[in-house]
Amino acid sequence: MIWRIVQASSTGTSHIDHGEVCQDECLAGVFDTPDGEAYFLGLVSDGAGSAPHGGRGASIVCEAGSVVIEQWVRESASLSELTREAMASWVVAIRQCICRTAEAEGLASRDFACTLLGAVVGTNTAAFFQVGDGAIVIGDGDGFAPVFWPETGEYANMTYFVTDEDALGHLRVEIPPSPPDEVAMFSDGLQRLALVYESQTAYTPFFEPMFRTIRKADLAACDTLSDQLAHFLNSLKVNERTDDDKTLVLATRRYDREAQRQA
Amino acid sequence: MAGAPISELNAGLVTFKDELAADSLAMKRVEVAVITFGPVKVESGFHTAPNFFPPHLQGGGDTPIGAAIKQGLNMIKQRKEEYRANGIAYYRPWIFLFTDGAPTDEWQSAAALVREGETNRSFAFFAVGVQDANMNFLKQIAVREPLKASRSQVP
Repeated sequence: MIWRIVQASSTGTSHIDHGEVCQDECLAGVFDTPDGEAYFLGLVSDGAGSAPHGGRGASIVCEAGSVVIEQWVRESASLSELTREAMASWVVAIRQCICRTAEAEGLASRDFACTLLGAVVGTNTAAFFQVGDGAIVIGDGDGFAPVFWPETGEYANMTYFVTDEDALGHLRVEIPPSPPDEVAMFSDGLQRLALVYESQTAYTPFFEPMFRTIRKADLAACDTLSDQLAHFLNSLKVNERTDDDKTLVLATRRYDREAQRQA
Repeated sequence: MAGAPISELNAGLVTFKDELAADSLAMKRVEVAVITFGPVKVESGFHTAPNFFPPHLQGGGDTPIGAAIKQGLNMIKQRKEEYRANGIAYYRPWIFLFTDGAPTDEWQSAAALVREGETNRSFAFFAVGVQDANMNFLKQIAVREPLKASRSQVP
């Protein structure tokens, strides 16, 4: 199964004004299970601006998340064993990585506060998990829908973090009956552009043109498309509507699936 | 408030509007309401930044700071309820108290409400002393260190 993946992060204008670097992180790729099934793995994390090391927290959880999940897949042999408990165990292991780093540096876990979005999509199985805001939007050919609605506190800029004491209380997990063939993952900086708040749905005109470009793109062109996406994320059009860091991961296998069906 | 302090404050309100107008995101997100006290009066209810026009304030009367604070807190509480009822996401409100004097009414219960609101993160409350304001009093009202307004520097 061929996945086309395009991804980019861009520093928010308010962070640039304060001389800060981007505190979002993402990691996305295609891996193989021991029995040769290719699966998409995507992770997005938004480091809390209020935490002194939020950006590093985001890097650590993405890195740790891929290690933890790949190891779980190797040991389980098959994605069909994916359960809600398995996802909770990943989050526990990811939190431990943050705790170890914090302890080694004489800091607290909350100094590395960050959100976490995760997606694992195989041939017949998919699993999604999320702590905090940002969103995962999936497409199956009949439109796009958010897997979870972003969880915020009272204020628009407040949310929950994977580093919180009660992170598992805010962990949301989903194993859909059939896996989607398109996945978008993004940090909260893009929520206002990509989601419709009144109806709690995905804003299709945001996703469809981008996926249309990627679906049939040469695999080699995905790097160029990622550069173009970074350019778009930093455009005036986007920055007029958000001053926050923004990250977007787009992954599609629709073209490949349709080609296989027709063959 | 009268004389130089009130004219400085009026100039400050104009500068505030100019700064808002220069920030495209703030123009979309910020709402402003203005309350004067002496007596307590809502000069303008909540307006989005493009529709906020700095009022020209007149000085005079007494200084019922306690009642003015309570009026402000109630307006914020009510506005939040309106946001929630309409599914509008919002940020933590800021309240700025500007004064060059000391209260002429009962203010202790207002100070308690400010402390409670700061603890619950219901809002952030900033006190700004103008000219000869009683800074010790402002310290008892605001949890945050009161600010001292400086006159705009004309080169």
